[in-house]
Amino acid sequence: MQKMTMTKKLWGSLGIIWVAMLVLVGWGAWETRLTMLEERRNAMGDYVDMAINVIGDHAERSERGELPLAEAQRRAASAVREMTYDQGRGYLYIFNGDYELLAHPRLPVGTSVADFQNEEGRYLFREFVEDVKTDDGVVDYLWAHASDEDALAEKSSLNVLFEEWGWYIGTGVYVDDIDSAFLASLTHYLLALLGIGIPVSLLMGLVIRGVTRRLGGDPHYAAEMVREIAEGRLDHAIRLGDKDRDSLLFDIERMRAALAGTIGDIHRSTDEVNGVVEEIGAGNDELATRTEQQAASLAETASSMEQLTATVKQNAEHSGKARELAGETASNAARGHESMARVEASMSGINESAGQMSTIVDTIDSIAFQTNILALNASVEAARAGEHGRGFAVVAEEVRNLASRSSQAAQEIKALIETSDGKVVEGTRMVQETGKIIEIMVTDIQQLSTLIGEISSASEEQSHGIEQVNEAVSQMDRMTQQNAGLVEEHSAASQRLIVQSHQLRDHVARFSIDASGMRQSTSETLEASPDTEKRQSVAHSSQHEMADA
Amino acid sequence: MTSLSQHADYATSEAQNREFLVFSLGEEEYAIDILKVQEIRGYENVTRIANAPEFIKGVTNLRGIIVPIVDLRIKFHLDKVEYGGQTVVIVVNVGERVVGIVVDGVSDVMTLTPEQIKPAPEFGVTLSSDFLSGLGSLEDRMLVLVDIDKLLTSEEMALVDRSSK
Repeated sequence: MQKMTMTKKLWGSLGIIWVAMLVLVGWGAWETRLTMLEERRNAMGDYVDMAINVIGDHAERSERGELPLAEAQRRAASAVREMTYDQGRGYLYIFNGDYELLAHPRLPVGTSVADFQNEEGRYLFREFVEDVKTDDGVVDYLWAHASDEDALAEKSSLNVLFEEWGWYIGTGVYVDDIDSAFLASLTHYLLALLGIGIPVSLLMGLVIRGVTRRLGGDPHYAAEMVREIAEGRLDHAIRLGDKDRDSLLFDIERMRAALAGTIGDIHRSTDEVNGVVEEIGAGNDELATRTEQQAASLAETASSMEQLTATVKQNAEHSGKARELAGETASNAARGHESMARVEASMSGINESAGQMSTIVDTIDSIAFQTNILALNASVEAARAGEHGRGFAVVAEEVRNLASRSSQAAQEIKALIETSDGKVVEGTRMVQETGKIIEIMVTDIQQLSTLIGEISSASEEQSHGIEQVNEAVSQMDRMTQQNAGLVEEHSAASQRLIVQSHQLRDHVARFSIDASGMRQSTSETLEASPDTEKRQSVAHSSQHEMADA
Repeated sequence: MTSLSQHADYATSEAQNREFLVFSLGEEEYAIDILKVQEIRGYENVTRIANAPEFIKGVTNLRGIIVPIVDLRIKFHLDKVEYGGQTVVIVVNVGERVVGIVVDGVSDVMTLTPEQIKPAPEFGVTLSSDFLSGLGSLEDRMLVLVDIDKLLTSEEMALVDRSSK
């Protein structure tokens, strides 16, 4: 078991009380002694005063001239010599500056006491003189005992200087009886002290025991532990005595354990909260970033929408213009068609004429042909006719020539007609083609018109759509702003939370607890084993078990 | 088959100029003796005769005389057989018969000198070229001289006879 200073103190206090009492007793006794001494001395003083008065008287008388000095002195000395007290044991003496005794009950007058030494070897009378000069004239020394000449006893003498005559007057009193009285009273008191003190001590002892047991340890230690607890060091178990189950220290230890557990829990919670808060913070940051991004892309979208709106407007304008153009083109095409029709009409007119011409030419050609044939027949007949038919043959020949020329001319005309015809056909074909193309154009233009109409309506719808999108975008923008606001609030709240959390953590960090910070069951850790270290290791191992569990 | 000497005889027997009627069949030009020619007409009013050979187009009424019309183009296996405004029928006298031959066209009456008339080459048995009496060679033309008698006198014409009756 550890030494408990408090016990020491208490016992010490008791001891001190004893000592004090003893001292008191001693002092009391001593004081008594001193008082007695004082009385003695006072008494001596009185006696000496008396002597001095007598001497003084004589001195006065001497001065007045009533007596001669020597006579006065003699009388005075004799008077003083006669003075006794204390049943004859007390006497006065006188000696002068030359150390001549002038009055003494036993020693004769004139004895030199300059070299007088007592049993101690002290030159008493010199000391007397010295003491009178320097001190109060009280000198303590050893002298023969009054009753027993062989024994020595304490004596105190008072010496006073009568300056007029240079006389030293003194007396001595035994103080040994004072000492014995002192001792007697001392013993008496001591016994009384013991008689009262011991039971009281025993009682106090019981009380002390009880208190210490109640405390369970030194209050300093307890205070230290509590201080440590107050300062947050909850990691060291308090040393307790064997079988200590209900002392203050035990309770403090329980408190410590409980605190450690709680703090451990708080620590874990704080860590978790910290973690979560940091997550929230991070998430918030991300959210903020995303919201910013969203706002940015919304801004982009808004600008794109503006561009789009502009484009759609342009589109609408253009399609309007296109429709106008289409209309113009359609009317132009209609006009073209009319021209085509007219051209076609004139073409067919030409065709007709050409046809007529052709017919006529054909007629001419067939006439030429027939003429040719006739001429040939004529030639044949002429040939048959032989000589007689010669002239006829010539005529026939000429006719054949004419016919041939006719035929040629007709052929040429025919060729020309054909060329023209060809051209006319070509022209007609081209006109028809053109007509077809124009028709196609007209159809296309109608389609174009339709398409443009559709484009226009589509543009309108687009415009509507864009308006709606704009609406949506600005709504989103508002929402994003709200979000941003919320995020900021969130962020601020988060920040505060973080601050709080950190503060909490700092608060909690003040406390140092066991590694696992687990709540210890006090009963487990106090499993009895007289050795402190063993107990502590048991405590630790139980903690580890709990940690491992 | 006439021998070369026969041809030569024939050619030399015709020492003086002769007059030919030149007509065209397809791309070639033929000529016949003008004395064989009765007249020249256009191709019209030909009444078709059923079951007649192809080259016999039919008959026509020539001033009261029924004349069979033969298409030489078909007979000569020419590709182009058209009947248009220029198509001509040469009415020839072949012995007692009067036949009309359809030709593509009649050019004119020409007089050929003996120098211009060349003998026809021999082609062999497979080809009946009896009717080829010679070739008229002009500057830029080659006239096939046709012996119309030989051409139209044969079993073929017997058919004509039979069909025309």
